Amino acid sequence: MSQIEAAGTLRERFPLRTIKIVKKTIGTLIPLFFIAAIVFLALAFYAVWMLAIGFGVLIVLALIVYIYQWYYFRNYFYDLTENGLVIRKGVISSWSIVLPQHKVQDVYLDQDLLDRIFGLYDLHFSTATDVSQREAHIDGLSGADANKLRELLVSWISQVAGKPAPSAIREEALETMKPDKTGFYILLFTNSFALILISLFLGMFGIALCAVVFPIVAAFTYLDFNVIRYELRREGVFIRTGYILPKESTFLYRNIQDLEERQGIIDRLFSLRTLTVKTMTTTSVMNANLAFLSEKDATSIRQKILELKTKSQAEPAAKPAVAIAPERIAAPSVVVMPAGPGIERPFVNNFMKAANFSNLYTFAWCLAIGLLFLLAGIFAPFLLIIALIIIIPVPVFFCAIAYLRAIISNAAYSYAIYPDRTMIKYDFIILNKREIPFEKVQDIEKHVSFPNSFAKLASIKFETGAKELVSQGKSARISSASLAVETVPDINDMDAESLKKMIAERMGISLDGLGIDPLEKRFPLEKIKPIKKTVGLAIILLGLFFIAIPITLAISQPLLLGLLAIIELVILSAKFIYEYEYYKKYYYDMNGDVLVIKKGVFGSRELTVPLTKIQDVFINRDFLDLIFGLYDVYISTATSRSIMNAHIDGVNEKNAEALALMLVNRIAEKK
Amino acid sequence: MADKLGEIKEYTLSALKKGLKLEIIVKNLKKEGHKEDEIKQAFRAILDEKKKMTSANQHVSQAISQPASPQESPKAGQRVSGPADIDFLIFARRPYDNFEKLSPLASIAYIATNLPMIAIILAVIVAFIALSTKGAYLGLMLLGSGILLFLDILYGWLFISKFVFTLEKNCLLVRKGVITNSYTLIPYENIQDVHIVQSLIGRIFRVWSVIIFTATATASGSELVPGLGKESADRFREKIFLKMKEAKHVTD
Repeated sequence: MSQIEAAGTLRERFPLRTIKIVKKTIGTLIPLFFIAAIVFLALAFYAVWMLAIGFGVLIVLALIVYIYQWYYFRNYFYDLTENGLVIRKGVISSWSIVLPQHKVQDVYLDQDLLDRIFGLYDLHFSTATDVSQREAHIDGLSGADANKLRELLVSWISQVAGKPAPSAIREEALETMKPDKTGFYILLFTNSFALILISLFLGMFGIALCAVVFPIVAAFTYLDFNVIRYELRREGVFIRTGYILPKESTFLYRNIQDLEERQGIIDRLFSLRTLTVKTMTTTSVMNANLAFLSEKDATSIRQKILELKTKSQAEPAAKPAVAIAPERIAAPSVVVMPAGPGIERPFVNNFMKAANFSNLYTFAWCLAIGLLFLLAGIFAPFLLIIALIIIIPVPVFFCAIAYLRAIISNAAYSYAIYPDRTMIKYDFIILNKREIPFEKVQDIEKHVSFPNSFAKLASIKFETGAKELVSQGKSARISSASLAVETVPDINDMDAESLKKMIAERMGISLDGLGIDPLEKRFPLEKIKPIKKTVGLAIILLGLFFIAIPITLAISQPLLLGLLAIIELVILSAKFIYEYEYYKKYYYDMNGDVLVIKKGVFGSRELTVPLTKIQDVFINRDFLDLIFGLYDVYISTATSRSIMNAHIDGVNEKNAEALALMLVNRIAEKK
Repeated sequence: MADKLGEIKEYTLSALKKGLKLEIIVKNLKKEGHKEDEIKQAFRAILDEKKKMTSANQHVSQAISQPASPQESPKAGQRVSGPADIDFLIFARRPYDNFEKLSPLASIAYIATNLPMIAIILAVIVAFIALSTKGAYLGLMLLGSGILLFLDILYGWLFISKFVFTLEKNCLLVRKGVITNSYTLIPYENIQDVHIVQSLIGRIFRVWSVIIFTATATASGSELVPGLGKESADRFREKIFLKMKEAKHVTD
C-alpha cells in the first residue's frame, strides 16, 4: 500500500490520453451529424445559405461539446486510497464512487470501435451492485498504462487482509487454453446464419450477396476466434475475446459463486462444452463463459479452477468465507472437513411418486372444473361435451406428460454432495452441470408443494448470488431466478431434513436449537393481520357490488344482486379462512447462525438464511399497514428469492424494531 | 423548564453511575411526572455534552445509540435470549441525532427536483385546456397548480425534516417517509460501494447525495441520503469506511 501511495495518485501515474477528448467529442456528435446531414440536405434544396448557417451551428456545437469534454477530462480523477478505489467524474453534475478493496468482483479491459481507432482502453470494475457496473470505469488509457493499471489493481483487489500487497506484479498465466478448433465452425455458422437465411429469400441476388459478404464474415469470425484465450492466473480466471472489439475479463477465484458446465445440442454434436465461472455481477453472466472447450479440457480446467478457488480461500491470513467462531472449530465445518470423495445421491429422488400425486391433483382439478361445466350443461347442452373433454382427455394428456418428465428426470438427473460443494447435473439432450461451493450458498429453501404435502415429499433448493440469464420469449433478461438444476427435487420429507442438515453442516452453520421457544412466540404477528389481508379483497368486492347495483336494476333482476352478494361473501370468507390459516402457520425462528422463516397453507416454503449472508434489513409498511398499525420486516440477501420470501409480515412497531435490531446485532457479531 | 431538564440530567447521570438500566431510569422519571419529550430532550443534551467531553458518560451515549443490550456472542445452537430490555428506546420514539446535519437547502433542492415534472404536466394541461375552451378553466388550473405546488413543498419539507440517518454501533440506520415510515438497517460490512452524487439541481443548491449499496438483488435495500453539503458528505463517507474497517471482513 505504501508504495502505491508514495508515487502520487493513480491519475498522475497512469494518465488518460488527451485524445480521449476528441474521441468523446466525435462519439457525441456522430448521431447529431447524421440527423443534421439529412436536415441540411433537405434544406439545401431551398436555399444554399441555410447550409452555411447549419454548418456554422454544427461547428459551434462541436466546440461546445469539445469544451465540455475537456472539462470532463480534466475533472476525471481516480486513485487508490485507504478506503478503496476512488473514481470521480462529471462537469455539471458529478459522480464520485468508492469501491472498497474486497468488494470488487470482476475487472474488465475493453475497447469500443472508436477506442480502437484512437488507441484507447477502458478499464471497468464491478462490485455486486449494478450501478458500479455502469459507473465504475476508467476510460481512455493508453494500452501500456491500462495493462499496468489492471495488474496493479487486480493484485490490490486480491490482496489478502493482513498481508502486504504483493510486491512484484505478476500477470503470468498458470495455464493457457485455446478453444477447440471445431468451435470456429460453430461460431461461423451462428454468425452467418442470418445472412444465409436472408440470401435464401432473395434468390439469385441473395447468392451474389452471400458470395461477397460471407468471406468477410468468415474472415472476421476467424480473427475473432483466433484471439480467444482462456488463462488461469494466480488471482483469477482471465478471458480474452474479440478482435475488433477486444475484451479482457478477470474473474477472481474467491468471487466465483458457482461453476456451470453446459453442453447445448450443437455442442453435443461436436462434443464441446462451455464452462461458466459466475460471480455476483450481472456482467459476468454474459462474459464469464469459457466456450468451445473439448470435453477433456473442460473437465481438467474445471478441476483446476476448483482447486485454485479453495487455495485462494485457504491462504493463511485469509479469513475463511464463513467466519467460524472459535468454539465451533471442533464441529464439522468447511475448513476441517477432509477433502474426500463426494457422496453420490445420498437421498433418492422419488420422481415417480411425485408424479403420481401431482397427477391426482391434476385429476381433482379437472374433475372439479368438469363438474362445474356439467352443472352449467343443464342450461346449455353443448357445455356437456366440454365437460367430458375436461374430465377425461385433458388430465390424461397432462398425466402422460408428467410421467414422461418423471421418467426422463429419473434418468437424466443426478446430484452429489462433496465436502466443499454440491454438484447438480441434468443431462438430457443438453447437459447442464453445476458446482455450487457451500460457502457461496445464500439460502436453503425446503419447498413442499401441495401435492407433495400428501406424498410426504419435499424439494431442497439452494441459491447463490450468481445471476441467471433467463430467456423469456424474445427478450433475454437477467435475474437470479432459479433453474431446475439448482434444486434437489422430490426427496422424502425426512431425507429433506437430513439433506438440509448436511448442507448446513458443510456451510459451517448449525441448525440446533431451532423450534424451542421460537422467535414467533416472543415477537408474535399481530392478530389483526388476517383481517388486514382480507380487507384489500373486501374493498374490491364491495366496489364490484356497488357497480353491480345499477346494472342489475337496469336489467331489472335484483335477484342477481343477492346471488352476487352470496358469492362475494363465500369468496371473502374463504379468503379470510385462508389468511387465518396462513397467519396460524407462519413461523419464524433464529438461532445463533440462521434465520428460518416458514409459511404456506397448501404445502409450505421454509427458508433458512445464514445470518452472515443477510445483506440488509428493511422495515416497511404500506398504507393498509398504517391503518392497522402493522409493520413488515424484510431480510434481503443477494438472491432474488429472498426478496420474495424472506420477510416477516404484520408485526407491531415494537416487535418489528426489536427483530430488526436483533438481526443486525447478531449479524455484526457473526462477522 | 431548564430546571426540570437539569433535574432529569442530574438524576440520569447519577443513576447511570449506580449502574441502573436506562429503561428503569426512564420509568422512574416518568413516575416522578416528567414528560417523555422532556426526557428525550435531556438525553439529547447529555449526548451533546458528551460530544464535548468525549470520554465522560460514555455509557449513556452507548446505551442511547445501541438500544438492544449487548449480549454475549451465543454459542452455536444455543438459544438467543430475546432483547426483552428493548422497551423505551425503540427507534421510532427515541431522540434522534442525525449523523451530519442536512444542508439547509436540502428541502428546497428536494422540492425542486419534482418541479420540472410538475411544470411540464401543468404546461401540457394548461395548453390543452386553453386551446380547447378559450381559457375558461385557466383560473381553475392555476388553483390546481397552486395546490400541487403546495403539496410538493409540504411533502418535500416534511420528507427532509423527518429524514433520519444515524451510524449505529452495528449498522447504518436510515428512516424516511412522510406518511408511512420505512427503516433500513445496513450492517457496515455489507456495504458494497459508496457513491457521492450531485445532480444538476444539487449543483444549483450545492447539495450532494450519498448512495450506499449492498449486494441485494433489487436496489430496495440500498439507501440514499439526500441533501448533504460537500464536507458533510465526505465526512459521512469517511465515517462509514471507518466503521467498515472496524467490522471484520467477509467475502460475499
